[in-house]
Amino acid sequence: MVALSRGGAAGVAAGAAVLGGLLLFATAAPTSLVDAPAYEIDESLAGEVTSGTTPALSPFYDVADWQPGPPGTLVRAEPIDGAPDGMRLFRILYQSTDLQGNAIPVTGLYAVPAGDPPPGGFPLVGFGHGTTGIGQACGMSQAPLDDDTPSRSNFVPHIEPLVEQGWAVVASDYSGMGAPGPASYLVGPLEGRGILDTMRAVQSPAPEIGSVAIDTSKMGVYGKSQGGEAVLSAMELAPTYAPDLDIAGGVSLAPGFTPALQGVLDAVASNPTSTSQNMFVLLIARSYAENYPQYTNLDEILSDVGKEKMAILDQYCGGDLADRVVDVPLSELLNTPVASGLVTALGEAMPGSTPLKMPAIIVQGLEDTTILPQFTHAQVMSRCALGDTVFYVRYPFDDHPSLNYQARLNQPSVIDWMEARWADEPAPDNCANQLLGTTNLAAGVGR
Amino acid sequence: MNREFLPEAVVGITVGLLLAVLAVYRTSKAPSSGILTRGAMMSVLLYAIVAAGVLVTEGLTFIGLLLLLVMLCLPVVGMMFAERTPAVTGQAARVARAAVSIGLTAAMLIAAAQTLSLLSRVDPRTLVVVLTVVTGLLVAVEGTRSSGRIGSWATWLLIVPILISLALGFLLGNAGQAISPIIVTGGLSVAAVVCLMVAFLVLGTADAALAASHRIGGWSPVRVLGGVFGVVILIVFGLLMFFGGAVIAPSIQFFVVPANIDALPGLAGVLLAVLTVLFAAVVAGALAGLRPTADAAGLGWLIGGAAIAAGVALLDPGLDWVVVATALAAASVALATTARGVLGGLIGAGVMAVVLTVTGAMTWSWWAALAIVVVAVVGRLLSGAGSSSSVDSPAVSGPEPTLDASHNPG
Repeated sequence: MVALSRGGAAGVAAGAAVLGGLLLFATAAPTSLVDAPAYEIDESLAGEVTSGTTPALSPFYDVADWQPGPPGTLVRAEPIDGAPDGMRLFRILYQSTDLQGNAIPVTGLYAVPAGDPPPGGFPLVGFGHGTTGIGQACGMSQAPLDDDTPSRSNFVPHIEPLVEQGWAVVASDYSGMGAPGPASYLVGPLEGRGILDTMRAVQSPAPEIGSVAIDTSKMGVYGKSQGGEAVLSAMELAPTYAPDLDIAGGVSLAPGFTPALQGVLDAVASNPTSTSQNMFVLLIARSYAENYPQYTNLDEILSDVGKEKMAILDQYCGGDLADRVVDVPLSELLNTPVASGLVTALGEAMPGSTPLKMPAIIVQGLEDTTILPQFTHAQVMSRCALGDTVFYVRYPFDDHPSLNYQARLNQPSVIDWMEARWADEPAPDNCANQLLGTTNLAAGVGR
Repeated sequence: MNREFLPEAVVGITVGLLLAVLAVYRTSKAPSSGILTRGAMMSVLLYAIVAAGVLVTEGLTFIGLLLLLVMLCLPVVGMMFAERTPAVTGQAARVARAAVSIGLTAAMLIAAAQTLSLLSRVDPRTLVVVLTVVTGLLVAVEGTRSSGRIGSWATWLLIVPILISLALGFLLGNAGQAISPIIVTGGLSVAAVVCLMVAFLVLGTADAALAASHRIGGWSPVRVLGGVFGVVILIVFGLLMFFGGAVIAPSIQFFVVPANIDALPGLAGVLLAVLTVLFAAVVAGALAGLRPTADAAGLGWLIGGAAIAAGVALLDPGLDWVVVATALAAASVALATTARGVLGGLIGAGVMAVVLTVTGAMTWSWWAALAIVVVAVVGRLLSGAGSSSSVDSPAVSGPEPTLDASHNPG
């Protein structure tokens, strides 16, 4: 080698560089982009996933007689009449904790297959629902069987098909959305506690529910949009908050994140148009002001116009709420620059910096204009850098609604992925950086 | 990230590798002092890559930036200390110094492979091999000249991350928040900072590439550190403005910009080309410690060392493990004045590495810092008990490296 002329040595080095490039191309890790056509939503189903009606609040959510108790304790339950064939539905009230560690009552929906459980019991999935508001009438347990309600819009594409798989599904309403409590929109640690405590709560026998055998070795979490972020928060929290739960993995569909970046938030807040973002920012403002008073408050975050909208958040849900807050440009709702305390709080609440102790599958449609794929990708990169076991799937032609079906019905199917975790198969991982030896150190590998 | 850009990414990385080759073979003239000074900057920035990776896990704030600057002085201080001390020659000392070069090379290969694969999904194992082969070829033929030339180009290319960082900071950030953070951090780990400082100081005493670069180039430590400080301050301050006063990684906000690397066609390729040159420079810089000049006697060490470094990088026990292990090896020659002392230090380093690994303390911990100090002291104490017949000066054995063309194998 050293006998080469200078030109020869340069040629060898350049040749090695070009050959190296070819090898890099040939050996690259598989893409996360799935070769699948867009999922066409059945028009007859589309009507069932709207959420233009705010349901009335039933007496079940009156907690005048509630007493604080250990988190994850079931307080009471009631059956919901008219459940579809093959399943039973219950409203549940259970104990959870707020971010200050105080006991709070939270409600949820428990859906179980009607037949006999398989040997060992039903698998149990904690479900995180997408954006429906923050009002007491906006939770999953309110009216899952009534058309055009927020809970129906999550029940049809998610909860019902999961129960049809033979899984027991428990969906937290999240704090404040049923029983009174602090608003929880995108407050990851609060949503996460709600999800984990529902999974604990339904493992206790209750006279209203009867004996439902749960296979505690087959548990998982599953969420979409706001719920996608909530289940990732729950997965981060689980080892410390609920170490008693043996969660095998989590499914996160188009998770909703708000990165703690002042410049990005200022750009959003300067939007001179009225969009669905109006509802999102109002929900965030209210939730963060209530949970992080040490950092911020509504006066800092919202303009007078924005503060006038606060009462509406308590009264309406889903599309019914969104329609009532799009009458002004987004830029008129928020103070700009965005309150630095809100950025501080978002920095604490958003998941992405704590390693997961279980594998995750994160799915994103690239035509999604509600959840920007770039933020999902940033979350996945962070997960890969943390050494998490993450299987990232991108559907090139799907948007926010169609992903609900695509992720279940196409391959790789999130249902199959979850079943494989319960079968103790090695979890797939397409983080290219983990092909080095650190793969063996990744926390979730092997489960 | 809405599209696949693997072909673009691979072209970018390949162009980066070809730029490294071009930098080395652009001219046959001896490198100027400016080139060697800029090359030395990359040898010091190697330590910044290690330190920044530690500091950002808890949150790199303005205070962290100041600490980082202090840390970056330590390898140079260590090098100057070694230059003023009669150096030990002999096989044990050569093994210890080679271990340091191998460890630093492995650390940079890991950093390069993790970063580039995370951004582009290329296989990091292939990247380790390719980067080792290409930089190894360049260093084999040109020695420190090659690392100096690549480092010089890389230093100019640092203008790209500097401009990106400042643009993000000034357009989407806040200068006041850079100094008064709005992002809450976990607080710096004192153990990690102390361990890094101890490790950097002893690594400086045994970093043969840095020492050879100084001996050949005769660069001013003040000038090199001034340049390094300028680069680090500009990049980190821009990021501090953008991130609200604390750079936390991994985090979703940290990756928001990399996740948009496909925003413009060609952007990913350009950024990956720049990063590839930067990593080629630090890898070549570390490798040059195994063969500072083009004398044939060092070729076996270079080939063997590069192979071991690549092997360690492929196993990737973690950057912290690799750097602490390297610092333990460096400690064996840091204070030793005899071959016996170095040998004792090396044995001590091996024992300490095993104990720290078994106990889970082979990371930025108090125990690791203590172990590094203990190994250095053991080397010193055993030196006192032995003869001084193996003491020589300067620090690196073999012929005195010069810029004379006779070292060019032609």
